Amino acid sequence: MPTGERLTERERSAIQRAAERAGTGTGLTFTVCFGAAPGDVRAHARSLHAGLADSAHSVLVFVDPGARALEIVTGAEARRQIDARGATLASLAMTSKFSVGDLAGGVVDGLQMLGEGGRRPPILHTSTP
Amino acid sequence: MATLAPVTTLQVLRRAARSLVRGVMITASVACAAVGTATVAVATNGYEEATQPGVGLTVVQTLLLYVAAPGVLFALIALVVVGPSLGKGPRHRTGTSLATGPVWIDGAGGQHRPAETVTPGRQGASDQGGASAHW
Repeated sequence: MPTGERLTERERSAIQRAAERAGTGTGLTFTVCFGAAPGDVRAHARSLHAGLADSAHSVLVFVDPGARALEIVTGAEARRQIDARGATLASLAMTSKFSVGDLAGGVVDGLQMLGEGGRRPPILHTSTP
Repeated sequence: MATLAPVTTLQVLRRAARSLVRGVMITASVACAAVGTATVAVATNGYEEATQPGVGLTVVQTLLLYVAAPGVLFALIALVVVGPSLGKGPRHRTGTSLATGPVWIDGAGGQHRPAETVTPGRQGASDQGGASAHW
């Protein structure tokens, strides 16, 4: 990986908080990975996602800053809550901030959108009065 | 059918007198207002009370008031607007890889620690979804 820049602790904690919030609202696990894909970025992101614990309920946001590529991979159960349209909208929100150099801000915005899009509506009719 | 009564000379004179009285009243009102204003103007050396010129400003005072003060105000407002983004630290150059290796951040308190669980070369499942984008 060529010499580049680092994520600050502040940026890391902001991303972690956003992932926690998104996970709390959806019941899914959100994982973010910044790295370099050796070949096909999509295939690499999918293989990383497949290796996650409980990948069916996981959402992986893979960012390759060097290749300027973003991949959002959802598991079999997670894609029921976050469909391709919601993932595409989130990816647009992310890349709009990535293009001005704000990696952390883009990921935070994207996680927020994914969390809101995949939020499970409360089932009220099963509640006892 | 009713017929109009002829206008007598007396009625014409009454109308003329009423018009004359009305005109005199209006003229008197305007004249009184003008005289009152003129009296105040004369009493204040030709200026109204709130329009009298004060002591003149020096060049330095003028520059401070009309150049330095607005400049300081502009700088303060600019600082308030730009300040928060300055405090966010350096931005990442687009197209630049991170200096460190892969960075994993998860929202499960580190329980998913993918670094240990990811199997290199593992194929993705066919039921995965998501989206791709470039910037």
